[in-house]
Amino acid sequence: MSGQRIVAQFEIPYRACLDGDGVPLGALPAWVDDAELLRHMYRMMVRARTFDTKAVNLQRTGKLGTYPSCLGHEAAHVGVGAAMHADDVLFTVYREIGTKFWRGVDMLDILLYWGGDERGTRYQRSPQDFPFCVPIGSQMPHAAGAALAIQIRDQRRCAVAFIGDGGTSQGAFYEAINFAGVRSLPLVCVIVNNRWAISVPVVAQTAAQTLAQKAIAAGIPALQVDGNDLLVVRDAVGDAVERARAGGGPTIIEALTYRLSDHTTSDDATRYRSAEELAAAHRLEPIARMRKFLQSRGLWAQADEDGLRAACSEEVEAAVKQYLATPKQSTDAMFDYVYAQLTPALRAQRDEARRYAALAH
Amino acid sequence: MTVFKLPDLGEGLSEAEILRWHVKVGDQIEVDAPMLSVETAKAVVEVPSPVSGTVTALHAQPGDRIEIGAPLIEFAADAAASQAAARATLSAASEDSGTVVGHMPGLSDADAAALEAANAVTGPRVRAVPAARALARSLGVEVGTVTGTGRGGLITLDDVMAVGMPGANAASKMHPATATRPPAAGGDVEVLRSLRRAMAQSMALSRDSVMACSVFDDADLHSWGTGRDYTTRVLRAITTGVRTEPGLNAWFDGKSQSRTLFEQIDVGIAVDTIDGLLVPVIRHVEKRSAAQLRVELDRLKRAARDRTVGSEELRNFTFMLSNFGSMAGRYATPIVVPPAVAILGTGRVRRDVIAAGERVEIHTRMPLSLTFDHRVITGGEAVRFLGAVIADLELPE
Repeated sequence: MSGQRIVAQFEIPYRACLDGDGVPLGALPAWVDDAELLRHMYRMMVRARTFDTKAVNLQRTGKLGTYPSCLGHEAAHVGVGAAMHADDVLFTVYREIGTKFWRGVDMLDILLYWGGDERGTRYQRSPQDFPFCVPIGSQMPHAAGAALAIQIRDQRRCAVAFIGDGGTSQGAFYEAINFAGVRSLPLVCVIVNNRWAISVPVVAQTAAQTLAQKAIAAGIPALQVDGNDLLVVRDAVGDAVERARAGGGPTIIEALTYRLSDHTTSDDATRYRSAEELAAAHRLEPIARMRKFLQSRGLWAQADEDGLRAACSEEVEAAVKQYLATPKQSTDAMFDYVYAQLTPALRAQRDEARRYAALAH
Repeated sequence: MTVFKLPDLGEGLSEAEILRWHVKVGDQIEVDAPMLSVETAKAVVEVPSPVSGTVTALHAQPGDRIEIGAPLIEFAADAAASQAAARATLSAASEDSGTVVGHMPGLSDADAAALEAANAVTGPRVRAVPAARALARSLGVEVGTVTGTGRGGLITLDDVMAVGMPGANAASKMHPATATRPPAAGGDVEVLRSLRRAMAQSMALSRDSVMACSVFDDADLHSWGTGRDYTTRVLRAITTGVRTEPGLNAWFDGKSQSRTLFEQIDVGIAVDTIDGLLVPVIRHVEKRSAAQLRVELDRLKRAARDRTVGSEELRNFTFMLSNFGSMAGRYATPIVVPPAVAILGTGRVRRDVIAAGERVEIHTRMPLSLTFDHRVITGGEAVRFLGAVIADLELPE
């Protein structure tokens, strides 16, 4: 009748493997038959949470700086780690200790970092991974750049970048995904939508129905997954990683989870969100769900759980001891790793810092 | 024994309020078990136990505001825990923040004192914000000589300015630490604290917001009998003045351009103390008899001078009175402290030679100085108020 027609249509698929009680929703991916892999993934979630709890206590008792808890994000973090290859490059925000631990980063490193010691970013087993990125969204152009380097070098690798729900409002995010889309870069972007950007809920963050659909404007395939479902995170990110490594271009995956903790130890979430909402989110948390799934398959017994908890506590305590016994760096450390050659102004600052450091001891 | 000091629970906070202890003296507690709830400027925070051990002392009660670094709780550590605690103590003691500082097990007070003395010989540590260091350098002030008033003695920009730019007579103090230049006589710099600092702030606030106008007159007390109680009469006269001109017993909010008139007359009385100016408030001046006013006045003045006056008794006056004349001074330009809009000052009561009709007589008179905020009170209102005050004061006993 008129000149109007639909020129493009889009949809965002949603995937989950398990329901809230760990019961499969359908046929599971083939790799789920690897019992040892499943147990290892579960252990890594508990390990992250045990460390996380202790880190908050260390901050509360003056032994650690401001710390952002990962409580509730364990499946989203560990699932991504489990989907990556050792030679891929990881870009995180600041909570993803579950992914870092999977990549071989030591607990000591994380403690040093949040204790203000930059040596905590010197990852021995994955030196190509980037450190935590506190300025929101700024890791995205880094990740696109790394993906471009991989493409130029014609390597079979990819860059994997995390971003939060709030981060997807940043210009850096849009620029990076646009670039990744147009260049078909080997980049996998995981949006961890934990519903809260400090005190801003997602409904106040964007009018978009999903965060995944932001990929459409960049011409990148996207999907949404249950971010508290360890199996689907590992599976969806794994598919995206394999495609990126094979030259198939970028993917954006929105993982729906919930920040069960305060934003950081400087925050008090009770001031802006309801106890009911938090309680409802607790019922969907990822660790209990995965444990139920393992138990239903006869892969996990109470003795396993007890042993795991004891081992994790022991490991955390040992790391804390090592951290507290680590000698402080000199003030030079603030300057030594910024430029290959210090500028005259920075040299003067370094020397001034030395003079006052001498006074302070 | 381990002393746990309040750490900075946010970022750059200076204090926290104790909400609840979850332990009491004598309790055994495990490391990381819930110990205490505090509220900072940012958040309500649960603080877990830093060690395993027995609680031997609590240094703060719910409701107390505690500065970062102040001792909170003491533990006698378990044998097993004491090593870890000692390690934590050693490590934390070497940190800048110094948030967890305890004694080494077995370290006596004498040892601690000796250590402190040894530290003193090598010179105190200097902690200053970078901008303060830069300012000190540009002013030629040795930053180590500045008294820090920030958290844990941290030297702030204000502290450096107090030394480096203390007004017109600053020149002699520019290099207080330079051995070749002896300080001028009595040249010690004192950073204002407490009452004096509060006065500096409220006076500056007044200067920056109030449009002050002062008017002077005298009340002739010739008709009074003996046994005069000046202050209670002045309070009664203020009540009369407010009945005539309610606009003087009010608050003004310049931001919203709104004023609030009060039925209740709460008069802030300026009290001179050794530590500085205090302004306790006498409530319901309009309802009290002279005798009641006197009792309450005496109580408040005593409490102000003992510094036992409650913070509630220092807030929310609707009018202010300064009887500076009890010491000396005839007239003044008293300062209106917002949000109040007026202040009455009474000068030294004196015997004046006056023209009584066609004769010269000697009468006792009280000099009065009224300052009002001309943003919200007209000159007519102010002088009608003053006239009513004088008329009331001139009535016989």
